[in-house]
Amino acid sequence: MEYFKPKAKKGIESKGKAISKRAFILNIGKFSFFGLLISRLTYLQLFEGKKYKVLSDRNRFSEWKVVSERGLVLDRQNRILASNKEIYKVSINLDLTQSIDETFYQLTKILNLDLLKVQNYKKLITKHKRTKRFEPFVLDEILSWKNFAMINYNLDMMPGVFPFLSYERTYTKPLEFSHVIGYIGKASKKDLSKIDPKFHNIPNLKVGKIGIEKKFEKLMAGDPGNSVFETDAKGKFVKQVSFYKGLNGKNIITTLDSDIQVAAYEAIKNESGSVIVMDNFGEIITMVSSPSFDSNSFTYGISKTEYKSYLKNEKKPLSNKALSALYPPGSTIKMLVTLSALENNIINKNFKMTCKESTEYFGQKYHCWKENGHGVVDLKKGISQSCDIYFYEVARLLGVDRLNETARRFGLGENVFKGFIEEKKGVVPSTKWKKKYVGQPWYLGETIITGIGQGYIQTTPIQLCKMMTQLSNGGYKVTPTIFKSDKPKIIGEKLVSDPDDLKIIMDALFSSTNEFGGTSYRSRIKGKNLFAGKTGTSQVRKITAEQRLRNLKNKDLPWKFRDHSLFVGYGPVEDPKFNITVVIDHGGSGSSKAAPIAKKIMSKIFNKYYGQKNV
Amino acid sequence: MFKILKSNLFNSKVRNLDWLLIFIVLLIGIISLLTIYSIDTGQNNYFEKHSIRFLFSFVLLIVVALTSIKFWVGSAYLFYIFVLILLILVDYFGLSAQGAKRWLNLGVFNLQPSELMKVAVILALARYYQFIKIDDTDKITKLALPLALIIIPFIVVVKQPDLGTALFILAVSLAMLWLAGLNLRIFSFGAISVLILAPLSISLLKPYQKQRILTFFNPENDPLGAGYHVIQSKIAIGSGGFFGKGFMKGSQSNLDFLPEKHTDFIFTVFAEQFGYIGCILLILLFIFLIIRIDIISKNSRNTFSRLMCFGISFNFFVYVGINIGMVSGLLPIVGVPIPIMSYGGTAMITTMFALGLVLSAHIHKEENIY
Repeated sequence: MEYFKPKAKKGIESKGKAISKRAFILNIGKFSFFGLLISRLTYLQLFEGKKYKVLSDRNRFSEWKVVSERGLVLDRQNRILASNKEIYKVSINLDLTQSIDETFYQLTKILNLDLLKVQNYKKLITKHKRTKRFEPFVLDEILSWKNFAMINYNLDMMPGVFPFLSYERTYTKPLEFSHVIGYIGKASKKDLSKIDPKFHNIPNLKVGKIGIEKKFEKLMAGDPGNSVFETDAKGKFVKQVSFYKGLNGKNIITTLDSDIQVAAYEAIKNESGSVIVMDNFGEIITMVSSPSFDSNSFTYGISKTEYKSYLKNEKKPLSNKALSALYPPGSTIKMLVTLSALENNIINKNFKMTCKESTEYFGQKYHCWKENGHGVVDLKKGISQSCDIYFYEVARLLGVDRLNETARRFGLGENVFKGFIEEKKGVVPSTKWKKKYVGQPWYLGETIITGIGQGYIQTTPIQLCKMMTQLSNGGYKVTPTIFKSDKPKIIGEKLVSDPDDLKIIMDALFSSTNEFGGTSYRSRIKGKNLFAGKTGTSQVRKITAEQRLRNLKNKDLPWKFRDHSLFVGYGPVEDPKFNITVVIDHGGSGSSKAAPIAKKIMSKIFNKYYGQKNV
Repeated sequence: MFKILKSNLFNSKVRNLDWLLIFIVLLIGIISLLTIYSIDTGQNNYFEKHSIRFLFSFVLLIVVALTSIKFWVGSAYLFYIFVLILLILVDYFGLSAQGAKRWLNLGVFNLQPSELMKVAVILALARYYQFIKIDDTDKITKLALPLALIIIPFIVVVKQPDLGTALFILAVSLAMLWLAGLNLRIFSFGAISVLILAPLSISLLKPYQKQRILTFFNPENDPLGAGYHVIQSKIAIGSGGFFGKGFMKGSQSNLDFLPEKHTDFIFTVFAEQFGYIGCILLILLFIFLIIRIDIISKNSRNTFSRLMCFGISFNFFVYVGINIGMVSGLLPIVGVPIPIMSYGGTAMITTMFALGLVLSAHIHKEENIY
């Protein structure tokens, strides 16, 4: 009861003052904290609002992209070369999955995955999370219909798991067409950076890696479909927001002819080399490279050992030699040397030389391939019997720069196609070229060997085939194509001004194959339709005087030092429609290896297109 | 005659109710009901239950307000002891959820005594310091009882385990001691001893409590684990933007991305739908409420009312500050609801009871307590 006293009253007053003072200090703290809260909200809602809006939508919406069916690849008679097999696969959307362990526990119950596999998947998923966070992780399994249905039935137990329909590329003739069609494979980072972003995050996306699959990727890929749906926090489907079915890719009808392609493959499958058949408008009928590989094994995931064995093989099965192997053209260049010399009035068809096996220029000896020489040689004989001495002299008179002009006009030294990434350009030398790239002046001796297609000159088989076509079709430019269009075939500008010059060359080619003494006489086709062509033997090494003395034969040399065997030709002679190039790596002389193969394939063509039998 | 006098008294009491405070409370109540309605799927009857609780508590608020302040002074210790007994009973008869025993089953609803303790300790301390001279506050003999009043419930609640509520009680109690005039040196001494004891107490924490503290510092470390709540909550608040996504249009809350969305995370639900404007308005309402209580406190003549009201206003500040702080990622998730807004029976009753006490202090502000 002491508070009744006046003193006590005073005490109450001072107490009240003390409380007020301290409450004031407390309030400063309180309201500064409220200030902090408001600035936090300002930061979250005003400054970062957009970012969180995006995150909220990502929470809310899930996009499922559907790979569209890739266009088929067909041959010129609409026979399917590459098609798609429907397969069932399963993917895991890691954003929607609560626990990977639980997911795999559920999946294992259905899919029969062993422990090792599951562990491997988990490792891959950890990596996947780091690199491709928003892309669903696709399991490597191909599901049976039963398992596919089971997973669909049990989806509620496995949030984030999406079974889906996909396609695997299947090649009808995987060995015969492997190089020209190419193959598809999982899109690499580089692939993804180049393609349209609409293809990003597609589960099981495969893109063309090489060949037609790569060249026509855009057409064949189509437009991927997608379905956007809302999911709740547990990854459960709430409702579909939008759906777009996508567009299937366009079918590619090629100019290839399966029958001829198969025949060509059969003819060279035990060799290393390539065959090209082109019609007189430049349509590719056949393009085979050997040895081959199984392109199906690439879509289904090639094993490391198989891939390594391909890489190690000295015959380079993975490279499309028709487009990317470079060879000195050897004697096949002689048609262009002739044409150039005639056009430039260096020689006429009566120009003659005497071949005594060897000749000498500037103190250096140059040899003909034929022992004891050809004797007196005129232009026709020079071509048909492929006399080197004759062409040394023609080349010397012509000079490399004029030859260069003619060769470039016929398409040597530049790409034949657009869009085949594997294609090489080769080299057509000139004095300027040498100065620029070798850094040395041109020597006359180099002109002389260029005249027989040796030295710096490097060509691809497809360039030689184009050259042949432009000669056999009357001297018109062609633009080789592999895509069969409905538009009428067109022929390009005239490349040869005087038809007589061309006639001289064609007569000589006829003689080369169909008259006794011609280099490919043994490979002639007997019957109503004939074919003609020029052999070529290109050296890959310099023959030393000692070797020449020992008369070293090709077959005694290690494989990779043997001569390349070439043949370019056309048929039927009366009305040229088909042009062929055969190159056999280290196959020896053109007449011994390439010409017989060309004959086989040409016979098949005559058989198919002209009904010619018993050839 | 006596009757007339009594009804006159009643009338004057009703007239003296602080209608401004009641208006703010009703506004927050309406906002709360709207927010709860927006996430009520119809399965849990959150809206219905919340409405009933709000109305019931509101009646309680009026009843408490009209009761004489002397009654509350007189029954302060009794109330404290009653709540303390309930708190201890929880240990024996409590309902367990997620490894913690916090609730008593009362048939109608589950009571959470630790919630009530937040007010009980304020009442008890206010009552104690009503009769202590300011010169005596620092004496160790006079400090023993209030320390006991604080530490006993603190330990019991920590053992439930409910670290958040325990710290809450501690914070409010310390504020009371501070207001009562305890010397700053004693606070410093206490702070130093806590710092020394901190490593020891961390070793006593439950693993999930440690996890929460770790997660607070880096929620993105474990986006689908413990940090999930914070990330999703921040996304919800942030995606609300300036104007909000609109009533009933919160995708984060409607699609269940928010944990405990009807209780501790109700502010997030609100923020997503009503945006920055809504949030500022709501926070201003709470600030007005707190200022209003502080004014009532200042106008009271007796120490009990003054201390109690300041305690309750500080209590509100801690509720709102910690709740918004934790859902916006400023503070660790400690399970503190936001008053009136959050779904939860005990918290609602405690809050309204406390506001009733404030109103009672307002009505009886002229009274001295002897």
